[in-house]
Amino acid sequence: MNIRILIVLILLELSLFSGEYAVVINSNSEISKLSLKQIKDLFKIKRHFIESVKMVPVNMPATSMLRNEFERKVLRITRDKLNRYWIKQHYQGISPPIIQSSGSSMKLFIKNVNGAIGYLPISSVDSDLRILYEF
Amino acid sequence: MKIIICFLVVFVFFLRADEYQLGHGVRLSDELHIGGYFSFDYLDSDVKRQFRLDDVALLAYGSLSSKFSYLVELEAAPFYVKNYTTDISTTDTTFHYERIYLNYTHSEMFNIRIGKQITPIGYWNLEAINVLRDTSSNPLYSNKMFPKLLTGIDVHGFLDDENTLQYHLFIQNNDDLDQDYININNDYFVGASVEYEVMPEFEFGGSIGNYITKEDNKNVKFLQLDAKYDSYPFLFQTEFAYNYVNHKNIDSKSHQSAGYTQGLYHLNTQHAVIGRYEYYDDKARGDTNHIGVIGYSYRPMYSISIKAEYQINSDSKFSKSIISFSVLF
Repeated sequence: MNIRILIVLILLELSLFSGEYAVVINSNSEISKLSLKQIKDLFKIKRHFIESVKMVPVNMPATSMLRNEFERKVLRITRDKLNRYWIKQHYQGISPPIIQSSGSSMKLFIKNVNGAIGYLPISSVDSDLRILYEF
Repeated sequence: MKIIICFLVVFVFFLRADEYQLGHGVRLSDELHIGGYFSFDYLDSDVKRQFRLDDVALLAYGSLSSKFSYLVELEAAPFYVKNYTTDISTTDTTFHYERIYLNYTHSEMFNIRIGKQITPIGYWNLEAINVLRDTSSNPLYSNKMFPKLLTGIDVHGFLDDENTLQYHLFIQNNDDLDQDYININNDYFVGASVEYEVMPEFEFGGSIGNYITKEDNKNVKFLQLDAKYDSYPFLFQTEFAYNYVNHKNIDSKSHQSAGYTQGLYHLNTQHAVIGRYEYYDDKARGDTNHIGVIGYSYRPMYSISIKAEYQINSDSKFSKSIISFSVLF
């Protein structure tokens, strides 16, 4: 009885703490794992490669709730601080990741561009995409 | 006058562009982003009272392919100066190449930048424009110890998988691209720098190098150290440099050193107070300065900076007040 309760509690906890969204790449990619710092660096254009693959980070529009969640939970930075960061990068000749206007265009872009990396609701991830990080 | 009108036309074009955010430039295509900046300042001391339109600059950059990118920056500084002490006004509308370079991105470990570029040393030197700084003035360290710009090659990258240890190896073995527009005119400059990110909030590093000045043929070997702690609402940074100088023309040797420590406290996202101590010591000239700076920074937006400061100099006639207004667009 106690073991059953324990299993139920563990399953409940797993469902509570698993993410709604995921950082994804094309499932044909050689990349199977990224650290949180590597993801942060890719989306801040501080890193360009994973192994020998030139990466292409893709953002949702600034008004997107998904992007807000990504910045809060993955980049762990406020919009104000991120804005300061990109203003400084503009002077260094570095521009932010390109933007795809919707989840479906983000999905299509990642499927078609080698090295493209973005984020989507887990519910919309299909077999053509590989989840690297849940949030 | 034509240049000012052109500059204003570009600035207004930016403000009217779709979805334009001040401070981020305009992305016309992957190959071409454009932007610029300008700054005004007013200085008041016992020996000088002046108004300047100090920087007027335009920059363009972009990707040429997945491996190649470029940046061009043209700057006129000081564009206009009105000296109220002597009642003389000067205007210099000549635009100079502040930066013009090509990047080759090969891997995380190995990349090349070739052309005229900012010397990759420390923190202050890399954010060399008024609008990005937290004070209107620069510490003497930033102007006196090494050439701020390099016309040569910089090989750079990261030495570890997590990109926490960054290196630069750079060399110049020719004249500067614009010899009238550099703090220390030189025809030989070689150096190496490393920066280690201990945690996202804290990093430290240092540089070594050697340069030969063009006019007075000084052979200078330098050592530079830096550290930065950035955790909102606090920001501390410190830099120090020591130069061993061989005055080849007069067969004499001397040394100079300079450094600063600056602390900033954000009252909120727009307002901050700043304190800085800096010193400069040149044994050959018997020139020693200790300077304390207290300042206030107001940014209605991050790309618009309004600053005021008071500098207390150990030579009191050089103590001064400075206010400035600067914009990055």
